[in-house]
Amino acid sequence: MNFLPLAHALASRQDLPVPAWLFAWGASIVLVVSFFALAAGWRTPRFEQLHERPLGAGISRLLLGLPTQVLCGVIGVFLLGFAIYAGLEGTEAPDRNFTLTFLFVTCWLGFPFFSAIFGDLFRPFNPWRAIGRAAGAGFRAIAGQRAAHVSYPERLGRWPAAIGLLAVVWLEVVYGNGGTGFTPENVAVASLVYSLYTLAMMAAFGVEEWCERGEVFSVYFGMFGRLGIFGTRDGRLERRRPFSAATTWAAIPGSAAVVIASISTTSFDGGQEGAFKDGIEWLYDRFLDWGIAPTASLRLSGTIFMLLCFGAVGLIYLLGVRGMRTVPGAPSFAKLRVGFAHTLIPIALAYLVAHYFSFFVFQEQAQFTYLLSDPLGTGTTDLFGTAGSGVDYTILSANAIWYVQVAALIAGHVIGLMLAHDRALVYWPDYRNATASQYWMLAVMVAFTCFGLYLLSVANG
Amino acid sequence: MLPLAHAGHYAIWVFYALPVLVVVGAILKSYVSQRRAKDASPAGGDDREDSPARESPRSETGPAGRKP
Repeated sequence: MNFLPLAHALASRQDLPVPAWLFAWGASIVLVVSFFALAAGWRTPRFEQLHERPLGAGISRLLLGLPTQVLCGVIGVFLLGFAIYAGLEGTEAPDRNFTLTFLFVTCWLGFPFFSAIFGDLFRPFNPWRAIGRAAGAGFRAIAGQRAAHVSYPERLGRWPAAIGLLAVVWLEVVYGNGGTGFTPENVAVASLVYSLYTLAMMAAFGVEEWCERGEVFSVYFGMFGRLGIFGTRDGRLERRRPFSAATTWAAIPGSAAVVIASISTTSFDGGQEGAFKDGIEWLYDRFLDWGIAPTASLRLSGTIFMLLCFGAVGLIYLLGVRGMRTVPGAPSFAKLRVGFAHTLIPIALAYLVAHYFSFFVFQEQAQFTYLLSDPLGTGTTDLFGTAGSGVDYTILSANAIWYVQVAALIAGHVIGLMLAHDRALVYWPDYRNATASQYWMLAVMVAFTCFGLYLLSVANG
Repeated sequence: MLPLAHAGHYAIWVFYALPVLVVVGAILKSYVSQRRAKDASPAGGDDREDSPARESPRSETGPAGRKP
């Protein structure tokens, strides 16, 4: 999120009662205590069933009926179209143009935050799904039959979404950091290209198939939606136990790569101006020495560090899985790797909240005041009389930001531990073996917690 | 060459890595002592063959056998 400076916290931390690294120790102790509490008091799986409670037929009809679906789809298409238009026609100043804040803050951060509470909120507003479904309905009306689709390769799974997620973040934080910046026009053009690609894939493989596996935003936001309390089944809206829908999310190949991509890209973005800064600069200097142009050197060094983050996060997870294999009765490595991938979803969310929540709070003030009144940033429009408003940076104190970051990281990792413990009880019906297997996941969780806090402390400090 | 002037900047890593090292050390210690105890016992052998725990029959779709 480099189009505004100091995205993670807009003031240095002040007056912490203890050094920041002591919070990492405290968080680790919380995790260890949680681990033993789970071992002592949680001896049968509780999340493997959704425990759904269907909501009333009336509210299901209202919220899931065709008129609502059409309305949500139209809103989604309109907002995407308007964001593209504002990017192409509006000011080049990124902080005065509706497009960047809307796509990279309101949508990119807002959908994960709220979907993690309420369930997948992106699905009804997904503009590409709406267009694809409308096109499919049109085809059926004209041709009298459903459009034929190519069978989606099972082994490909969610890998297109994982690679797409890396590409989206790369475009934003690496390409956009290459000297010229990431302008609203760049974003609009990228959105158009992505729209064409997505619609082509939907035409080839089917709308729902592509949304489930390949469409970056559907997969990414849907992943967080699995933590939420509402879902749909057979056309009925239902309330379910929080986090329980996450247990089946990773069954599709490549899902682990998606959640690892999420954690690693957030880590990279958090660290590129802090913990990784010296390393990136060192690599940048080497590329310059080899005669590579400055912009290309900057992008190359950023790309390498981003891929290193992806590899490092993946390696930590795989080491945890490998450790579980040493416990008697362990399933295959492949099964464990898939079976525990969903436990990383709360961690991905915790990283997002920790790194971006203050940025989200500040930028949403801009979104719903001057960016809404003057979306093109021309200075000549004031639709709602709020074009002259500003962002109140005192709304959150530096200490408050830090405490929310620490709390988010701890909560996310404790939930991750809980999900991992629950899954272990399925693979190892003897709770002692299940607990022994989770020593390794405890190490993974402690590592991610300390790493996250380190990134934040350096970025904030 | 890494900028040595920033050594203090990197040193803070140690404080954040310490809890991880403690947990990993405790796990390894426990693992090694279990291995030694197993090797020393007359039964020895591979625990996996004795264990009642088996790979869950609920397979590719996840442990609960539910489709996503």
